[in-house]
Amino acid sequence: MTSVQLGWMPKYGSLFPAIVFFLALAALPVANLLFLSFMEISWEGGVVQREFVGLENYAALADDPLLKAGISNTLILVVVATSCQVALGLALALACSSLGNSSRLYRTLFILPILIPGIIIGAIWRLMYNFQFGIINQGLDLLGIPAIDWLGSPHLALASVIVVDIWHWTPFSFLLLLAAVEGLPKDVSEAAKVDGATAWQEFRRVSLPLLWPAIVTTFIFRAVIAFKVFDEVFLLTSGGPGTATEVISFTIYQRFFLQDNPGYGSAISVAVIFSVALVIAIALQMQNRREATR
Amino acid sequence: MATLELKNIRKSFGDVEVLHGIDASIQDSEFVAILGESGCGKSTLLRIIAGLETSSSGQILIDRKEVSNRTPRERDIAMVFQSYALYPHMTVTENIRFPLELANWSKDDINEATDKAIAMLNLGPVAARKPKELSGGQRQRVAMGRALVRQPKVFLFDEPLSNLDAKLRVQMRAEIRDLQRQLGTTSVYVTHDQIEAMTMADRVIVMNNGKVEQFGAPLDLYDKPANRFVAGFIGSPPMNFVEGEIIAGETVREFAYQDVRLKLGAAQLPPGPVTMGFRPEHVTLKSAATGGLRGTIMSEENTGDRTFLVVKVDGNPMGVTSSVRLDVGVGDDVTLVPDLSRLHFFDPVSEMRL
Repeated sequence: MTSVQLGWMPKYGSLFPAIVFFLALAALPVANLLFLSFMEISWEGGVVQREFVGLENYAALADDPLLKAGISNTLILVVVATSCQVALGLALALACSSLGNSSRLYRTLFILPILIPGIIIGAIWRLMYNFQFGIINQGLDLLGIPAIDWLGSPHLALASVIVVDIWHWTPFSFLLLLAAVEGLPKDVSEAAKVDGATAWQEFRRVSLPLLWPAIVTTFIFRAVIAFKVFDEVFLLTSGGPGTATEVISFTIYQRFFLQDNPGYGSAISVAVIFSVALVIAIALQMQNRREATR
Repeated sequence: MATLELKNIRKSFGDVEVLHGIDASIQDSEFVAILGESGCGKSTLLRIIAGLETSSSGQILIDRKEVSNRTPRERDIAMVFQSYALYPHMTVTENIRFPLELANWSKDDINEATDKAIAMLNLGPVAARKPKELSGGQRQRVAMGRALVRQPKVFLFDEPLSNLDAKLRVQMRAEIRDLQRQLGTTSVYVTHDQIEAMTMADRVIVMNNGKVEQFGAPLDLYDKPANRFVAGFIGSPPMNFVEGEIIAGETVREFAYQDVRLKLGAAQLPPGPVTMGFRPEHVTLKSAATGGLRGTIMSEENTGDRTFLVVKVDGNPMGVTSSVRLDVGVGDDVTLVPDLSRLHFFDPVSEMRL
């Protein structure tokens, strides 16, 4: 069989559709966002007016109280919710894996929340959190504890949103970590048992180090998704009371659409995209270094 | 060092019984191989001894103490797995230290024992490496080191050489045997390779379909197989079998197969149908058409030191090996004359040795 030497045209030509898709679906929207972030945009007589304002929109970020609250709440939500989801997902994955085939029913039950649309989750939990007739307060009433305004209290609202996020997204961590747990070499675990390890020692000294790359990857994936949290906040609290549950996505929505300020909204969006990308890059770099020394 | 006794070990998976009552008594410091084909239950038996699998019934006694319901860590055994099962995130040293750390040895004792094991197994130059950076033979040694460092009562080996190439296998065979002799630890070694079993073990358990067919010294299995299965399983190329009859001749008993008569001398076998077996190396070839089994050479393989022929006798292929180069070729008609002093006879129904 003779091999044909292809010139550069067919090689790059074959990549052309993929490049077009990438540009159209990823690069162009971000470039457009970047472009808008340097503009002051207004409508006069039904016609869009663009005025180049340089870095003014970016400079304004530092003085935006809503954004500050959004960043702070988002970081709390990302760290707390993601940590809980990874820990719970890992615990459930280990439990299911140890049950073998008899865990099929549990596996199906555990992944149900991720299959439910956000709007329904919002409705379900709003009803459950309802001050007067919510099932949670009814349960507390049975125990003689007075009703709590879960979504109306500035101290409890963010925690309540975080609980919903944990309930909604733990199945995601569970699925990723279950695949990793099932992929652990069985003979290594048996070797640890024969070597004299208790169940905890086997987990701590053998399984956990082997699962660590999957845990980090799950954490990063989940953190990225948690950063974009919107629907749960929108449906449960709309950012309130006050700014108690304000998150970055909701701030962008408010500035971009409700206050009709696309330039400033774009500046927040670009800043968030680059911040998240930077955090992911640092995390992956740390993970790669760790892998290299393994 | 300890004795190991297996009493009527049975194991079922659902309705299927895979071990049908295994009995074996292994002496202190003895090296016993469990030999059998894939699926005969030998690895399941080893895992039951290790405590990684529970038996459906029966008892396991280590040093005369029943351990059947104890966890692996309570049995004081060490196991070398087929895949080596090294901890991939630990270095060679860490792998070897690990069982000692779990046993709460003092730091000084751990260091001393680990250094000794590393030196004994010539792992010094690779002590800081991770398993993925080691060759197959080195991984095998680390697995050995991890097993021996704790000085357990019993060593268990689950086909530990099957992932190595032929040359390394021969080398590691000798190394494992030497180490076992040096340490004097009671050992059970599972293998499907009869050469490994025959060359390494003091005694061999031959298993088939979840039963012990024979438990004896390697040469006993070869010279006096207890039944037709062992006779056909031990030895390569395998034993040849001829279905015939024992008849009372004029002076002595004779084996009769068609018009062939083989005088059996003093052998007192009951007259009647019988399966006669002879090994390929216990037969001579003659060109004369009488005095043996007549057949046609179907294939010939020369390995330099030996010649292996397949001769078709009445449609049945029979092996013949010779250390002397034979002046014959494919298609030649020959007569096989078995060595009458080395014939084996089996009951054609029960297949037990007569």
